[in-house]
Amino acid sequence: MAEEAVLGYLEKNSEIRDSGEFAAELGIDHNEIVNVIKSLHGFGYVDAQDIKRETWVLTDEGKTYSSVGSPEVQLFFAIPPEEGISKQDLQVQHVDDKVKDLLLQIQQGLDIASDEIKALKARKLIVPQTWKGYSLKRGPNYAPKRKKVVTDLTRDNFQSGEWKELEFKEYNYSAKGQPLEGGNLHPLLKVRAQLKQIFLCMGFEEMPTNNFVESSFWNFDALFQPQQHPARDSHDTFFLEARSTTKILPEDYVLRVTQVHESGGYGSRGYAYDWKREEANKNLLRTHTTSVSSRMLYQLAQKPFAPKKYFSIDRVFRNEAVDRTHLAEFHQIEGLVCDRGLTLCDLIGVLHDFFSRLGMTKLKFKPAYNPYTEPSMEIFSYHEGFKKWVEVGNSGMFRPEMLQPMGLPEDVQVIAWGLSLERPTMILYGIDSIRDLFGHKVDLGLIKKNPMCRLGID
Amino acid sequence: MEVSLSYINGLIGVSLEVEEVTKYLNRMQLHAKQCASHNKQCNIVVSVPSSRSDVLHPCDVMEDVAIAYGFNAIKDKVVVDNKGSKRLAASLTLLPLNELSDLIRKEVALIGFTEVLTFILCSKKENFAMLNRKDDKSKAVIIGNRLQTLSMHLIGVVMHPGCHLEINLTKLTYHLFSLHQTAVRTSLMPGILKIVAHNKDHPKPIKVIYGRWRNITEIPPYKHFIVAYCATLAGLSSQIAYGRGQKTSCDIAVLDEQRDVGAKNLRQLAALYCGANAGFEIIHGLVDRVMEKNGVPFVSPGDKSGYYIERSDFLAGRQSRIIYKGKHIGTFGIVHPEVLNNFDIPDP
Repeated sequence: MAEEAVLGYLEKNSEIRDSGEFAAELGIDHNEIVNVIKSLHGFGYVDAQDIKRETWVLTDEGKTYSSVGSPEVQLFFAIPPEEGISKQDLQVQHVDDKVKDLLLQIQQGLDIASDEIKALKARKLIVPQTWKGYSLKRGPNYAPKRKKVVTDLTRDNFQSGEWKELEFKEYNYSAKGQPLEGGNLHPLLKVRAQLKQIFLCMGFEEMPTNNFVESSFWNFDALFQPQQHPARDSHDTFFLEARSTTKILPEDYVLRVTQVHESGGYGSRGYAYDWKREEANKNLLRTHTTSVSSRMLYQLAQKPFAPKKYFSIDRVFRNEAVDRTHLAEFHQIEGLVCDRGLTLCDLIGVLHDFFSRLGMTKLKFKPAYNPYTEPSMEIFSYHEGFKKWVEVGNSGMFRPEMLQPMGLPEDVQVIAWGLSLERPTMILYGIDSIRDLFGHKVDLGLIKKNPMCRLGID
Repeated sequence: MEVSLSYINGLIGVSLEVEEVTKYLNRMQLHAKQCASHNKQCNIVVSVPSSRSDVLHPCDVMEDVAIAYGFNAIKDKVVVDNKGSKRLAASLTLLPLNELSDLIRKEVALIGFTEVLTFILCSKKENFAMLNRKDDKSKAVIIGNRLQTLSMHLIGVVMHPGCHLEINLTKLTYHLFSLHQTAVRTSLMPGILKIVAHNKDHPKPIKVIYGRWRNITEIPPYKHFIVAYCATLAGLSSQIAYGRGQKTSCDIAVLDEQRDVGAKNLRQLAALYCGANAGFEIIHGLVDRVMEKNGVPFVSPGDKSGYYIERSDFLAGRQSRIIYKGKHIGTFGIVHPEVLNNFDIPDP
């Protein structure tokens, strides 16, 4: 009612000069009017200007005096008229009660001289009081009637056209929006996709690694790894029980591999041991993707020579104890270049190109031993966050004892390198336990929050 | 064992004299000396001690020379050799902007929005008036050449000097689908709203996104952000699952006086939600999702380390701005009902 009165009045008049007078005219409590004015001002219906008036109000003592008179006057009237007092004691015959008069004037809101105000204030008969009101004009959102407040624009109020009359509630922008249902890609596979893109940009094609079971021949012997090498022990390799042996091998190639192991050839003196076919026939879960590389190079050697660049990223298996940084299975990344006249210098150049795309620009190399590469180099990258050199991969040039029995020309060299997929992913995303990333105990929350992988971008 | 000097140099990729090689090998405890030979070929005789059982082939001798020379010492020549090497000519790079767009397209699709692909050409009316905007003549690229068969009312189209875009007539004919094709869009919103208008019978709600990003060179590396989102209203039942949305990723063209042709493309992303209610909170959720997938944290207003949302006035407080590191990079809110009416989106 107060709200309607205010809005209605402003519809015909440009302003309400004094909210106090306005309230008095309507017979509405001024506080109610004030509350309505504040609300309307908040929504922009009216423009409100503060009005302040200071007035004097009687204290309790002051009220007493104004009704029964000041103490001095009360004393005067307390004297019995019959007895009187001695003439010498009588000083005043008549008294005017000015204090009472002043108090009554204040109570009626009349103006009083300032010096008398001071006197009364000193006697604590009056105190100041501030009255607050408003003068009003139409506001930017003025309307004769307040609009209803709703939460949302809906089909109903849109189609009916009612939205024009509606007031919408404010949004809370310090809160986030509604979480949306949806899927997420696994961090490891996101990194794999980016690495595949990097290899393609460098001109490499992908090798078929879709076969986890391999024979010892392709996994070890073809790579010129001796049969007594520790890696071929059962505590390092998963050997198979069902379908435990290989069925078919290229026999002429097996003969050449046998010879180069036992007595050498192609400039080598060999390992000088008795090579056993049964050992080479054992099936296993491949321990590295280089077994696929050996198959690809062998096939390449069966045709007129053409240079090739291959890569693969896939699962390999090692019989290892599992801890926070090791699993019995993991993803290996491998790249190789096969061409005439390749040098160690070319290998180092390719490594700088590849690793700089992963954000590793500081590299250094350390000699290492691998049975099927010579020279062999470990690759280290300086990690700005860790402030130290971190081993990131392994590399080398395949031995002639591996390449030439396949039938590749003598001047053909193969440079290759490998690294794991898990290690850079953990470093990139700050994951400290490999089990959070991979396996049954994977952290679903991590997969959900994990940002996009931008390796190779920028 | 006899090893030729050319073999050693050829495999390492350096040019060492025989004296250097013998010095390195002796340092590696392989006693070496030059071989007196009748041929011109320079050979080195190496005496391999029994403790070096790993030396099987001349390549093992070569490795010892490389180790003594220093693997990391070869690095100084790598750059030159790599660049000059014909064998390693293939070293290609994809455009980072396109790569990032593809990643974001996948992330948005994973949360249930469907991608759409719409026309670049649109009418000036659609670009401005139907979106309740004013054409300040500083954004739209206007097509200057017209087909004679178009209606008369297009003859008066104004050409902006140096700002018109010429399109092959065949392509123009191919792209035309209405008589109002006179401008290249400066916003993804007209196309996305038309998708909804022409799919009125599609089960609701519809969620649509449009790709939209600023050029990489305009903002710090490694971060790219949303410019526009919106929610709109249409149709029937909200009982249908959210799984059906639509999205697209495209460029728009705006005027830019700093370019030699006077215009440039901005890569942007737009999204739209259409259902029984406006769905502001769903679009807001999409904003949060895209920020999270870019690794950007949600922060308090004024904090420049991440993003926050602030109010912008449009349909009485239903529009918002996305502020990232102090910059205004995007806007989202409820599409004004008058704009919905302009595009004939159900039902008024």
